[in-house]
Amino acid sequence: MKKNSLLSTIYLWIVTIILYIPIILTVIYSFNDNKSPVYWTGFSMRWYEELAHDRSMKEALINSLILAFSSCGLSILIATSAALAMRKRESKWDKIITYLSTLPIMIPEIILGMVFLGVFSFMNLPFGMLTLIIAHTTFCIPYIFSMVKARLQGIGTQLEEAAYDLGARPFRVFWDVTLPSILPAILSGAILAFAMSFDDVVISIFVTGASTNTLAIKIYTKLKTGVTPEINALATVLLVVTIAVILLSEITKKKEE
Amino acid sequence: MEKAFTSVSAFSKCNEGRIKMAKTVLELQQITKSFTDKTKQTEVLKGIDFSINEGEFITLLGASGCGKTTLLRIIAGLESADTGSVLLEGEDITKKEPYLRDVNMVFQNYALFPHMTVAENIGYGLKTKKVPKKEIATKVQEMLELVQLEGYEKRMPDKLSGGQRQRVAIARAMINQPKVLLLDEPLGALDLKLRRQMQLELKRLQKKLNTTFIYITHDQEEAINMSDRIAVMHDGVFEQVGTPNEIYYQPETSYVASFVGNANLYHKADAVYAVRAESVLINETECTLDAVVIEKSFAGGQLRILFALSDGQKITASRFGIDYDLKVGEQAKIGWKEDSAVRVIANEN
Ligand SMILES: Nc1ncnc2c1ncn2[C@@H]1O[C@H](COP(=O)(O)OP(=O)(O)OP(=O)(O)O)[C@@H](O)[C@H]1O
Ligand SMILES: [Mg+2]
Repeated sequence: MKKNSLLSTIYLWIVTIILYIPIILTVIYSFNDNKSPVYWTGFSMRWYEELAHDRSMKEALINSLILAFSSCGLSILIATSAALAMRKRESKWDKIITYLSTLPIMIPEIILGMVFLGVFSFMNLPFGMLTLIIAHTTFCIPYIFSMVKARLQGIGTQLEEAAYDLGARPFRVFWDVTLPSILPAILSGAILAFAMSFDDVVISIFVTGASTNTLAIKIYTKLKTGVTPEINALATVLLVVTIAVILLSEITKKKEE
Repeated sequence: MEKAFTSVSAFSKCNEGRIKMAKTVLELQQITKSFTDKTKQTEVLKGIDFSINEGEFITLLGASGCGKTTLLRIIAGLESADTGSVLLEGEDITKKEPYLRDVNMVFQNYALFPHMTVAENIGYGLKTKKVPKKEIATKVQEMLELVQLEGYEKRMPDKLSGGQRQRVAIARAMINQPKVLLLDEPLGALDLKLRRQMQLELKRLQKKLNTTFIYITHDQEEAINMSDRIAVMHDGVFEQVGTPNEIYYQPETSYVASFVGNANLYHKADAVYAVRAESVLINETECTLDAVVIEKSFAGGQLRILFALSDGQKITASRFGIDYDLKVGEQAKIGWKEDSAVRVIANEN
């Protein structure tokens, strides 16, 4: 029994290391003093400094943040009200709508990107932040919607009925009881959506304009000219942000339980 | 002898008068309710007519799924009746929103707000009515004292035991001093010992605040211990309403007789008689029926002996203690005093 668990521990470690070696190397080499991605010549923060002084990087970062925050905000509103509305009445369309609304998660990104491109060109929308936000909102909604819907099913209607019974009017019931109950679900869904938006490349490339770059697009385009330590530094920053966001989501989920 | 008799009847007359004088708080008139479930329609309530006096403790007793919760929800306004009306102190509240009704409910699984403290939970009903904060705080303290939870005001509900949650739920409803308090199996989730203790506390609270209670329970003993009147629900109507004594000793139908206290139903010619297990005599002078013991079991401090009569009918007798000197398979004579057999309307197969 003990031997077995030791074996499986070793196995787990090997798998983990193989999986994470590229990531670990990226992080390590972002601190390399040398421009070469092969030779380690000493610890340095110079790539991070360079990153900080790169104006286009800053712009891309700001774009990424604006994009992630606004598409998250919009999808919170849309997804939450949709989930709430669907709870009110039971209809046979519910299943279909639920299924359809999760499609953006399942459809390959490249196809989604092409569809957006087609629709936006047809509508004659100027490509840029607006189209980015619309596209990102679309694929962010399912994450929040599914979480809020599950949560609403989980809490049932009894707490709200108790509030009504105690004299609370509909808006008050929503504010005092419904919202606090679904808030953790909204948050963890939104955090996940934020992470998705923040590191999306494929869809963004299809729908962005010539002058609007996001951080993720920036990495992708820079990579075409080869891996530079600056990219390593940028990837590390993104990695840290993403991990932090996902940890946050896990923590809120834990709290919910 | 004569004198004693008249004095008793005079007393009961005076009692009757008192009850008639009492104010009617809640009146249900011909309440019906059906649920449609995937094209199948079931009529759960088929015309409930009932009125409840101020300060009364009424228990609804009935099999699972007979519509007790539905009726309570209709009174609270959480469900709407198909036809009929609900009158609260003479005012028709059938169409009134639940938050405007002067009625409160204690839910079966408490339904405490998990993100609010004990004090916030209890004070919520007053907060919605815009009572000043200070007054809420004093009243919450009073309530906490009443349900013996002083010092718990800052606790969150998930850090309470089942019995404590129950008290919070009761305090949260009672603080509003509703005209009628509805309790849906409030003690259902508690263990037996705590249940007995809470029964006493609830009854004490009810008397102290003189609140009208409509109480649901599955537990006949609970119903008999606590109620002023019991309403036995069956097949969508109140089959019999009466004091615990009436329900227990003078069941009107075979359903009531067998549901409350598992009376024997003895068929003779076209008539059906209810005979309580404890009234069944074994091998005494009144005993005329030939019977064979087919089973003995011990439950609830009593030995239950199941007899088969020669015509195939089964009769249970109960005795205190854990054994009785009759073995399974043994012959015996059984019977009962004439006045312990109550003729009932047969409606139970
Ligand atoms: N919303 C609903 N939709 C469809 N059917 C329902 C609904 N609510 C209750 N019913 C049905 O109505 C009947 C009565 O339900 P109710 O909850 O009132 O029973 P109850 O007497 O409280 O039972 P229990 O003692 O098990 O709590 C049940 O058969 C139930 O299936
Ligand atoms: Mg019920």
